[in-house]
Order: sequence, then structure tokens, then C-alpha cells
Amino acid sequence: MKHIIISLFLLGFAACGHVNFEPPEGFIELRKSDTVLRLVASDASALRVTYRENKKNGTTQFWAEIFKRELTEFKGYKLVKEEPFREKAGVIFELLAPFNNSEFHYTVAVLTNEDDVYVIELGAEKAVYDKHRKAFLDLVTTIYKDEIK
Amino acid sequence: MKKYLCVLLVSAGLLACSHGGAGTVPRPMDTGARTLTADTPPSVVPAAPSMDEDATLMAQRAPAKPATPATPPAANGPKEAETASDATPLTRRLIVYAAALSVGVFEPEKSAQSAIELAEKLGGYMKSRSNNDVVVRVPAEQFFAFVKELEAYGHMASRVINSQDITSQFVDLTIRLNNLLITRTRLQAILEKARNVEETLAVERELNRVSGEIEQIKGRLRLFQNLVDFATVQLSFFMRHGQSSVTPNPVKVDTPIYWIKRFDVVTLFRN
Repeated sequence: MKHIIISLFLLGFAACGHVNFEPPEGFIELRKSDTVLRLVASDASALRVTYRENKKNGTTQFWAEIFKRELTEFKGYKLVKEEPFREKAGVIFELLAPFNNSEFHYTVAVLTNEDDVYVIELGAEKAVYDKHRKAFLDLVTTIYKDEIK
Repeated sequence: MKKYLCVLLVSAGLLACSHGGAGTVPRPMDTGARTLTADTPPSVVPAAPSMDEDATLMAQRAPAKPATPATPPAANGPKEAETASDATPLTRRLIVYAAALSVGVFEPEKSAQSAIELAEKLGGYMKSRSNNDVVVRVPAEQFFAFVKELEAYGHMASRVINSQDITSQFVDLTIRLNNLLITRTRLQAILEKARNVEETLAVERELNRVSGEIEQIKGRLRLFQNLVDFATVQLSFFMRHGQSSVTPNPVKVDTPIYWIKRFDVVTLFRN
């Protein structure tokens, strides 16, 4: 009985993190902390989920604008597409980013509610991007359903 | 005693003649003047045997800018020679240029190599290289063109350009050299008239000291001339990530939320 209680306590403690999500198809969990989950595919494509506590007045529009500014104006990535996710729940940016002499697709979703901000990133080579885009959208949808809604 | 005085006076007169007069400006200053005034005709200002090598060296390195010819001083004697030195027609300032540039590029290795090739194309050379940190020397007249070309390589993260005016130091050294050469000639004359071993040794000691100083100053003048002729540019190329290497990002206020800065493809793939 004592062991069961301890086990349950440990399980509960382990589940306390903000990024306890199942890896989508084609990805494995490489590393996880309380706020960051890192997943990789066999072709070296990468998914990363980052959690941050939201601030007062931290609307989706606010986070979307500051991310867009950082990624396009400071990092110099080329914005290919920007679309809202589930109306005001989030935004998805599709960008092109040169890396190691190749062109990479870099997609960033920002989901927010009053308390949380989730940033989900996908980095993949052009050739395999479409293959992983579905996994990325599945993960974004899961986070939306489990945490944002 | 009178005879001795007469001989001395005659020698002094001869000595003075050999260093003065129109068209016979003291040699070191000739060198300086020629260096600074590249178009001075050799017939007007002949080069001294002792400085021939330096004069040639400096003349070769002399910037191509046109300059006014040196005006030959008309007076005689050591005093006049000094005046001639002071009146050196400095037609341009002697400026030492140096720059330290830090450039964000997509391919640092290639950019470093390309910068070296550009420097060589402009008549310069590579001084040192450590990975993607390069030090090149470029002809002073090509300095700003070189920096401008580098701006097109990528995002110029930092650019420090320094200039140092060494005209007065150069002139001071030239005057000192001039005076030392006159002193040496005098000492040589005195040495010829030495009457005993003691006198000979004493004069020779002084002659050695003066000759040593002359060589030192010549070396420093050559160094100055080289620093003026070739600007030193320190380049540091680092990997940047972004869409275009030819459109530099305008300087803006940094993102106030620090953790947002961590989002990019580099950190995404690195962890």
C-alpha cells in the first residue's frame, strides 16, 4: 500500500510539467523538461514545444506580432504564410530559413489563452517538409484541445 | 695655434658647403620630402648615398597622389639644413587607417577566403588568419572601397574604424634623422683629424652611437611609411541565419522578451 502511494505521488509529480504530450507519428521524444519538449524524426527534422506563463493582456495578437517581428525583422526569415489557428486561439507562421547552406522550412505556431503561451516549432528540409507538416498540425491540435481550449 | 685655428675654420667651411646650398638639401629630409611629395624631380632633390635604399623603398611605396615639388632651401650650413627640414612641404597628412569589422554571413569560411582574395585584388595581402578571423592589409587609397565591398557580404554587426594622424611624429623623426646625419658627417671629419688613439677611440664611440640611432630612426620611418601605405583591417565572420545575405537588417530596438530570441532554426536543430 505504501509503495502504491509513493508510486502515485511520483507519477503525479512527473505529470506536473507543462509539455506532457505524446509524440506525433514519425517523431520520438528526445528530451523533456518542465517547459520544453523536443522531438526528432529519423530524417533529423525537429519539433519543439515550449511553454511559458502568459502575462496580463498577453493576447494572441500581441504574441503573434512580437514573434513575427523577431523572426522576420531580426532573424531575417522569409515569411511564406501566416494563418490564424482556431480563430483567436493562435497563429501559424510558415517561414523559409537558410541553414547549413540548405533552405529549411521553419514553421512556428503560437497558441495562447489567459494563462498559457505555447510555441510549437517544426524545422525540416524542403523535401520532407510536407511529410511532417501533418504531424506538426496534429501536435498543435492536441495542445489546443488539452491546454488552450 | 693660429695655424691650427685656420685649418679648423677652413674645414668647418668646407663641411658646411657640403651640406648646404640650393639643390643640395640634406638627404634624410630629401627622403621624407620625396616620400611625401611623390613627384619631386630627382634632379631638383638628389638622393643621398646613405639613404638611397630607403629612398627607393619609400618612393616605391609612396602613394600615387600628386603633390607639389619640394622647394629647395637656399641657405647653407647645419643651421640652414635644420630650417630646410622644418620647411618640408607636407602636401598631405600622414594618416594610419585601421578597422575592425564583424560580419554575419551564411558561409563564414567562404566569406573569409573571399575577403582575402578581395584584399589581394586591391593590391593588399593577408597578414594572419585564424579560422574565420582574418587580418588583411590593403593599400590606404583602397581602404574605404574595401570596407564598402565588405558591407555587401552580409550583416555588418559591428564596424570600428580608426584613423591616427602621424604627420608630426614622422616629421619629428625625419628632423632627428637629418640632424644625426649631419652629426655623423661632422664626426667623420673630426675622426680624420684625430691626433692620437684616445681621440680616435672617443670619436669612434660617438660615431657608433650616432650610427645606431640613425638606423633605429630609419627603421621607424620605414614602419611608419608602411603603416600609412597599408591600412590594417581585422575581419571576423560569423554564421548568421536569415533570408538574404545582401539585405542588411536595419538597426532596431531589440525584442524586450528575452526568451523569444531563442526561437530560430539554429537552436531548434542544435539541442
